[in-house]
Amino acid sequence: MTEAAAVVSETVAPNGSSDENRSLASDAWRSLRKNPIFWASAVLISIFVLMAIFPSLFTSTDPREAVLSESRSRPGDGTWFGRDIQGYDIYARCIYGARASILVGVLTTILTVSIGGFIGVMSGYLGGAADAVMSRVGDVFFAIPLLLGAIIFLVSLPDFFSSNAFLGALKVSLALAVLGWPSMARLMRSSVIQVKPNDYVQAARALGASPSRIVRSHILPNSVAPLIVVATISLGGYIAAEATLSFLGIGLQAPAVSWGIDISAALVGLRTTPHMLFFPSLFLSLAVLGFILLGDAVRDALDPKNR
Amino acid sequence: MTTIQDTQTAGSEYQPVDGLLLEVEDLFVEFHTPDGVATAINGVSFELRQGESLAILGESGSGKSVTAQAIMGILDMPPAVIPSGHIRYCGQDLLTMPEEQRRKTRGPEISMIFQDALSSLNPVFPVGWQIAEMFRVHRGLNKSDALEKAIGLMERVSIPAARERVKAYPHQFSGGMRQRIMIAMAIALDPAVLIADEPTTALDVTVQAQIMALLQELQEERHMGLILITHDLGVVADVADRIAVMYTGRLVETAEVHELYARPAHPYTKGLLDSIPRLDQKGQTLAAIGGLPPNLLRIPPGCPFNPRCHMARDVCRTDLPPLHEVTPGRFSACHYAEEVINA
Repeated sequence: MTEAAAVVSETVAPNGSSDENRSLASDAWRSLRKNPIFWASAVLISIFVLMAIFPSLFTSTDPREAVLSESRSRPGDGTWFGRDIQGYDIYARCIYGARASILVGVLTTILTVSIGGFIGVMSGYLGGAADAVMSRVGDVFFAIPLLLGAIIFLVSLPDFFSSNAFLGALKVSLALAVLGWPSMARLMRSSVIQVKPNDYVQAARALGASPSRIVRSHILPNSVAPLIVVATISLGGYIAAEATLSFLGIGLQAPAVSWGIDISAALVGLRTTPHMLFFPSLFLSLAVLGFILLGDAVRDALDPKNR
Repeated sequence: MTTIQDTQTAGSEYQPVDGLLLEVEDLFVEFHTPDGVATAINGVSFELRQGESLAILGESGSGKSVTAQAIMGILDMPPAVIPSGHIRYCGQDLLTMPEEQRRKTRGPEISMIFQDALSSLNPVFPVGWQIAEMFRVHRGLNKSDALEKAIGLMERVSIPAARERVKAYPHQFSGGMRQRIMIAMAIALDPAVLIADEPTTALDVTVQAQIMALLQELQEERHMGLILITHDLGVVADVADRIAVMYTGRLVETAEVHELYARPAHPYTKGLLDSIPRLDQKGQTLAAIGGLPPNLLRIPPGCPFNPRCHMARDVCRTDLPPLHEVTPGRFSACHYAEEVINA
């Protein structure tokens, strides 16, 4: 009977109420909800995503409708943001430009996370020769400068990729992913190496879990948090990289609508009509800022030290 | 009392011969390190029968945990190497078995409990999910049936309000409760052999006794063979039938538990027994074994215990004493075992 009494006294959970079951994800959500930065970034990102999917909600003007007689007209002269050198409505171009940026950002993130994540898990879990080979291959790609590598890659791709807007975005995403996956792989590898020696992985082996189950149930859920954070922050970076490549004329090409293309076109009137440069740059900065802030908020939420 | 007996184990391909579950024969385990080869297990042999509990006793580095990991097949190889020896389960050698076949013995045939139950449970999944996973993966049960079985097991290991606690996460349980959950996972598939590697070391003393009582109860109920690995002589006294004492990777003494406590046949065992604090010695200095266990890379010649042995003579520094039968059923690896046992 003393055993029964002791058992009861032993069960008082450290954090009070026992029906409040806290998983890592629900803990993170709890902490995210209280973070104003999260809400600010969420609003920004939602607006840009909405813009990308339904640009017609924001404007009824065609971004490719050139009114040459009003070329370089200032904001307020019939249009909100003025017109650029071709007589395009800058407001409409900013709205329609979101699609290319978000598409490239999301596609590149999906590609780098899946390629880098897979290779990182494999090299971290397998170790030894497999790790050495995959890490060195990653180092080779890591050593290529982004712009140089992207220029070579984009120039060497067949014209097939220029045939429509989606393929154009895919082409830029491929170039960025080829050069961007090693940093994801390194991150995932180190995270997996940290998780692998944990007792619960050993215990799972001792209870007969297969290698694939160990990776799926034990290694991946416990090591994926840093990848989520870095992927969110990188998404902003990829949007900026797309703009850079388009600015240089090797990313998306006109007639595609992209902030980078517009920034590049605005350079001719930098002194006289700076609004042509200002608005696409503002949209680009806000989009990048949104994802970086979201990444920061997610990192704070997933980091147990901040609780 | 509710018993959860799995009917599906009846048709198992592994059937013990004359109650003999596990035979470890002349097992060697080496670790290849940059500094040289450390022989962690040096020719260890023992047997385990159905319903028997064997305690493997030794201090840190004596090779007791490596023995357990070698039996389970969870040693990291490399750096570990098993150059020779046999581990037979129901007559089949686990060491020569294909890895996939061997993996399937883990859980349903041989299972293991670890020292630190907090770190042995996956922090991101509810405990009920983790126990149920055993049934889903190995038995192919659907989610709700598996969860029902998990709740039954949690009740069996005396977790109060199991049905409400099934969705709780490991960090919401106390140390003793976590160890109970670990035990529930280990016995979920009705293993014939259960290895407990220092199951109570991370727990406080009152909880230790409860966990040992639970293990003993489960062992008798399911007629399991139990290997209890510990450095704590006090913990094993009530539970173990036989004790094997290890030192620097060798067995130095094996005996029935009561005989070993009454009359140790090896100076090392005697030293361990003398170092247990006793109430009637209050105020006196505790008799500790002098010195430290040798570095496994530099084991002294002769008897590995000789530098710390107060009885050591010349022959101990040159000749390795073999494990020999001192009295029926008792084995000791000491040149002067007869002298020690009669002291």
